[in-house]
Amino acid sequence: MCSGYSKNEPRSIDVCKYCFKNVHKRETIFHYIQKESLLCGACRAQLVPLGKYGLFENLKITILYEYNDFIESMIFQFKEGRDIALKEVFFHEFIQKINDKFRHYTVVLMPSSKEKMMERGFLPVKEMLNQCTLPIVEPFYKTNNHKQSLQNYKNRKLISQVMQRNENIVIPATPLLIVDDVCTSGSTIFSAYQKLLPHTYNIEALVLAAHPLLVEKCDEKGLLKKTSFSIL
Amino acid sequence: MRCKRCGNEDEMYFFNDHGVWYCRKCIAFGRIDVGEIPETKPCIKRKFNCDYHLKYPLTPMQDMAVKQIMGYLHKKRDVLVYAACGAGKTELTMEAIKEYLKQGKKVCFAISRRQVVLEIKERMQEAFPMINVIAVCEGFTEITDGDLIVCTMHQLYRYHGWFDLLIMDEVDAFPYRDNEVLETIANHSCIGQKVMLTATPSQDMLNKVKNKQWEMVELFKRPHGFPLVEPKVYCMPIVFQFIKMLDFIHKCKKQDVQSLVFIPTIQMANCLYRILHMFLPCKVFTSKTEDKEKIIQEFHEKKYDFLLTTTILERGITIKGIYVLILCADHPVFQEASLIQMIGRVGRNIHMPTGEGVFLCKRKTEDIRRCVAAIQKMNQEV
Repeated sequence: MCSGYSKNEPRSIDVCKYCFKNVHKRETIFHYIQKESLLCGACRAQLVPLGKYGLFENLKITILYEYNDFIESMIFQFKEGRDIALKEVFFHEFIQKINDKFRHYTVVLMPSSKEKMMERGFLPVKEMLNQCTLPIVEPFYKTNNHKQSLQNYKNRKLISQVMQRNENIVIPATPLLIVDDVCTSGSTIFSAYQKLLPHTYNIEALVLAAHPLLVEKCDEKGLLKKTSFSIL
Repeated sequence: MRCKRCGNEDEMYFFNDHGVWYCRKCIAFGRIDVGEIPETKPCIKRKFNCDYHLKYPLTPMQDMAVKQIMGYLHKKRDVLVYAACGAGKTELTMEAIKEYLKQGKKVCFAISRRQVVLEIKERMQEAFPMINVIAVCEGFTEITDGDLIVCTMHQLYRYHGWFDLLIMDEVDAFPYRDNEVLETIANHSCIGQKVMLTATPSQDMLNKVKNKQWEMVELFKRPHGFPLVEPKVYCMPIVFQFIKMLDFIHKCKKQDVQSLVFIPTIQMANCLYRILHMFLPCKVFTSKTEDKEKIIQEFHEKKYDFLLTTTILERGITIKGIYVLILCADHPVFQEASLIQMIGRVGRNIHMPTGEGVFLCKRKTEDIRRCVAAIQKMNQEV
């Protein structure tokens, strides 16, 4: 396990995990009182919390943030820069609520290619969910090094051929929560959902950040609703 | 524990990943574990018997400055070139580039801003047509090696131990100024001499000269011999500043001169643009602007009367015959160095050696006073 800033542990909560400035910089009173922060107020101000869920072809997807330059560079630093110290930052604000609301669920992760896994040495979303108490399964694998973020809208649908179900992994008899970090067209999540359909329990999805175009499109169609519970 | 790329020793910036420590201070350049030497491509050095061509010959003052620089470089000393805006700092370095390339040494010209990298690349390629000058910056990173490399300060992380001569322009500007990581990365990329160029040196730089760590060469006379333009400072409420700005734009239009209007914030610049572009041919140019190259090109082609811009255009850019107005010059973002640089955009053209620079503010700040005093001092020393 990662041991944080080791020798001087208290400093790790005094400074922002991303910009290293004082964690209380531009922090709102609400956050100051509410909880221990990992990001300073200035960094948090750049995140755009959405607090929305939508029903897409019967799959309920909860979206935590809108995908913007700030969250993109933070995810890039974590995944491609292999900055594992950021792992808890992404779901930190919601992790307690996720643990409570989905307590009977099992988390299903999306696959990474073998090459990426070797390069990074860790599975990004699994590390992001480090504080999550729910059981986690990885029932899928990629047949080649298909990078979804490099594909155009049409080719994104090919993910269903690239992503295959590993029959050796037994999915527990519980409701399932498909979790992914970025949702651009929704193809990956839907593909996973289709492959999990024989499962008789409820299936939901949770994404860290959704592309603004997807959000806008869904908003126009009236698919997105503000969450009534306080997960967001 | 020490990072071999950025030199960090502060344990706050180290993180332990499954027993392996890595440095987070320079993580923006990719992860490097403690003890790991930064990866770098092999450096190929070739001798070039090249010469440079300038549109105008160097003035006697410039010639003297070049001889001083070369003298210090022969003694293997680092040099700080303190020269007025528009004094031809870039041209002063060409002799050194030629000499080093002749000896088969590797040379790099590093600048803080991407926009300026692309412009200097063109100027260098024009001056040295027989060599391959490459620009390395955001959007131009596929080819990273050439006969002469022009890059942003950030890109120096690619060249650990490469350069025999590293020329750094605008060392007093963001993001290089007071940035320990970039400074260490620059030091690691250079195994020979450094030439630092600035029009507004910090006290720290001047101290290094005083302590004999660096040598200094001064040049305050512009090639055309005209002094720097002294700004006119008008103190008035913000509403009157807008009216004065419109009057200034109108006056420039009547004289068929383009102008740069500096605005303190991106938000304010965008807001003004939304109103003004309905009546006047103009564009907004900030760090968030897409198609930056296209807008600059079109401005050079005189498609717009003026650009509404932030401090992004304060340095490095040469636009022929422009006037400058700074709105809210008392805003904290406009420090002394910024103000000097912005006024320095005026009168850079040999055919238009004078011009007009206007500061509009609610009150005269210390930075405005120091800027005016510094320009007057430089003009006196000419």
